[in-house]
Amino acid sequence: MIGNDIIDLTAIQTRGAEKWRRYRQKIMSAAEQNLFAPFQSDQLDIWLAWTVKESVYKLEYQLAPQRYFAPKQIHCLEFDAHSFTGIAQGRLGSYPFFIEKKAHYIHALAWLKNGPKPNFRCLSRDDFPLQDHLIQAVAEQFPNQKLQYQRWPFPAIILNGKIDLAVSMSHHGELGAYAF
Amino acid sequence: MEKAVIIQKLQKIIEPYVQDQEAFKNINEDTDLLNDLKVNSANLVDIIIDAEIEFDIEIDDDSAEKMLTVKDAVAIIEQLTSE
Repeated sequence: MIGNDIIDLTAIQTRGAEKWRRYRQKIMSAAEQNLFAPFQSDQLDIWLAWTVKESVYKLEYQLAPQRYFAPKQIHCLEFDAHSFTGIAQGRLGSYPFFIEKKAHYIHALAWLKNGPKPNFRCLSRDDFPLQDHLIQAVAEQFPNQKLQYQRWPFPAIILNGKIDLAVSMSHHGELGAYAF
Repeated sequence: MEKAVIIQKLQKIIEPYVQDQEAFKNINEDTDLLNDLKVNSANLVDIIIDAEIEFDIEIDDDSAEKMLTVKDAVAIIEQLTSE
């Protein structure tokens, strides 16, 4: 199981200082605000925490499909500001995460403990559909196997007729990313 | 506050964040904010904050968790404005 989330920083709407303050309080605990405090300029702390939480939500949806909107029920417990890795706690367990932080986007991935670090790629909207690139990348990794894409209840790749590979896709603004 | 007034104000709050304008034209109580209107989940936080300001209420985390459809949002706002 895997989850990812991308934020196109060039597509972030302008908000006033008071709105950002409230936004931060709505999605982050006091401990998380401390954890990501070095990144408060340009509200990067919000998007670092947000993408991790969304990634964990998507991962756990694959474990137990249940919709909810509760960013504060997913906790970023540890975060290394040099490697951009950490541990997050969801409703069902805790998971390692990695954040790809670039000048114009933030992309987070969360996966199962003891699982391999996922493959991932970010693409611009000009290169969509994302799904085609994902299938091509999986096909390169698993040659000579029949691949089928499952959209619902969550994205997955069916290899040889069996759900075998968890995948995740995310898009925001002009960007998208897949992971498997 | 009357339910019709809440719905009218809520539609104005939601509109800037809607990505499927066709779905917005057909908005009703069963409309799902994320799945139908294609509101980005990050903008759901904006809708909650904007609703707090507009209706002068505080939507706690437990209530916010349930705000997935127009009906859910109206029920929560209706309850909080009557307290």
